[in-house]
Amino acid sequence: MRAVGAVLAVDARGVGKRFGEVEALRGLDLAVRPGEIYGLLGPNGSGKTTFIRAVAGLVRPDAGVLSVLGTTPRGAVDAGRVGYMTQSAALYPELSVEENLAFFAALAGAADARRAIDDALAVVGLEARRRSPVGTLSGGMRQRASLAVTLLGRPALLLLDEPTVGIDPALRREFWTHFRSLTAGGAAILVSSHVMDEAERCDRLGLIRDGRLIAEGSAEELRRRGGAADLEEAFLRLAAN
Amino acid sequence: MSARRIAAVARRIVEQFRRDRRTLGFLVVVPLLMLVLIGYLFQPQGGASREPVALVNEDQGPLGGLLAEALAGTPSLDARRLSAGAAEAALREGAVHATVTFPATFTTDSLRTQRVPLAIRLEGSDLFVNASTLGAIQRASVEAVSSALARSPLAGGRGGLALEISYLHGGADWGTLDYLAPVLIPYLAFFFVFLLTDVSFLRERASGTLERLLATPLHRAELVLGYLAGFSVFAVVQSVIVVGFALTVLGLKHAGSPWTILVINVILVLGTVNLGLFLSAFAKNEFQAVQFIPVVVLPQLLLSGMLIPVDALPDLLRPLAWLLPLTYANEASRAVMIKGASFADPLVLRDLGALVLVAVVLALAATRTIRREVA
Repeated sequence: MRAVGAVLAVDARGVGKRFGEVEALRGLDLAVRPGEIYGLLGPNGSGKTTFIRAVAGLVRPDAGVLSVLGTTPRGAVDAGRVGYMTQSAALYPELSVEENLAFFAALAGAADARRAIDDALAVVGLEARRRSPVGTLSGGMRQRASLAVTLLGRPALLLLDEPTVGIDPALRREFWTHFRSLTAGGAAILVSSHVMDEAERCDRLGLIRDGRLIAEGSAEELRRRGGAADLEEAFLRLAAN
Repeated sequence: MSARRIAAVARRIVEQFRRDRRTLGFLVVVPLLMLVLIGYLFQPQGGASREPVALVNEDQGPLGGLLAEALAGTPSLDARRLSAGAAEAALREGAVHATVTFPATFTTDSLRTQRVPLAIRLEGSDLFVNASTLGAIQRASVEAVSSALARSPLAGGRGGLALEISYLHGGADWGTLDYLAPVLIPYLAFFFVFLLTDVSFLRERASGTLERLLATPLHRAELVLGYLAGFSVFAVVQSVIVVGFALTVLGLKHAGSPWTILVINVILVLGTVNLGLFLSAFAKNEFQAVQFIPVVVLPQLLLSGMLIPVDALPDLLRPLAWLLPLTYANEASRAVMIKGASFADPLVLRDLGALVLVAVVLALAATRTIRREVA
């Protein structure tokens, strides 16, 4: 992974976003450091996906400052430094795994596409199915292929929107092993999740409610602050305040 | 703007459709089937058809009988002489398509007013039968007058009225399909390409791949251009096959160059791709995308000069026709196929210019709708 030095992977200050009547983000302050896995937690409609989409340059905040890898979100995306994994495994079913990867590699401008594809396939363990049309893969394999697309070009920031929804526990564990190896290389990961055992694996967690950050810290810190033995209970208490 | 990214999008679209045999077949085979079907439908019936007509002569004088006899002898009519009551009954039964009555005062009226008051009563339930029956009666009238002239002392018992018909464009040997093909070919191209782009871009949006694409360095304009390039491959293939089929297998007549016809079609189809991309932004699912077909396709069928010449449209609708891309394509295509015009023709140039303008405006509009939906 590229060295990002002291520059924050994500630096959000007072970020707000309104969709008509709905205020999805209300002055969100949040920072993701290089080399860390930051977990975004919160109930449905709390603003998690809107925030991730803003970081991916898909939503323009109408208040506050949002910088990504020291530049604008779109600037970071254009430089091919951000990998975004959508909730659904959005790939082209008629094309093979390899063709999907080649297409996205061409868009990302990967220097050595051949190698980038081989690397990404090796990470997710899909080498044997590289020529299978994505439409013929099982749900879990499709999810792996989707992750492989996100890894192309070795982005410095990975955005994962509920990456393990509908995935069996064995594969989920495997995914987290990949994530950990990526941050060891200096990449930062911003991941949203519902699953508490996933939250435990993050370096830091941010609890979002109504478009605001209401608590932040490691799983251990949050448990202590919520005065509860398990994370879920701690969140319920913190969210109730 | 990166040519590499545009090419990547185009290549992906070509690959996707290459795998989708059924859609490919749809794009190419269905227009051919429709051409064949329409061609067969409008084939001239074997031999000149004679319209069944009842002639009723109630004239007190001699003129009615003379004219009725002359009419009955013409090749355009299958005429039978009936009484008024029998003629009305035959009309109701459908045995005849019209009755032609010489009233009791026919001779005296025509001598007094110098006009010949013929009463024609049509069965009237079918637009096409009405028109062909009237046409046959008019033809028969000319034939009757002509044969009467021939027998008159003026012509010395020979001669008569002969219509010598020649054509500036087209010709007597041009069938209905020869006249329809110049508008059918662009219409079929438009219809199928619109349907395909509309639905396939909707799929891009609904499946989440658009979201993913927009989170890469790919820009919206590059995406639109990539789609344009990818679909133009199929547009060219489709146009070549449809035009080639029409001109060789169906043997359709064309006065102008097939290449000019091809270029008109390809430019039309490029605009159509943009229209599909643009409109798919306003559909939430495949079902809604399909709803655009009547909205987009039907007005063009009615207003683009396919069925009714644009000049003959009501004043209120005529300006609307000039907003539709198909109007320009039809005009140019007709000029080339029927009148033998080339690119140098100012009308063809103007129409092609209009098609290019439509394509550019729609490309910009499509780019804008992609932005709007994301922000």
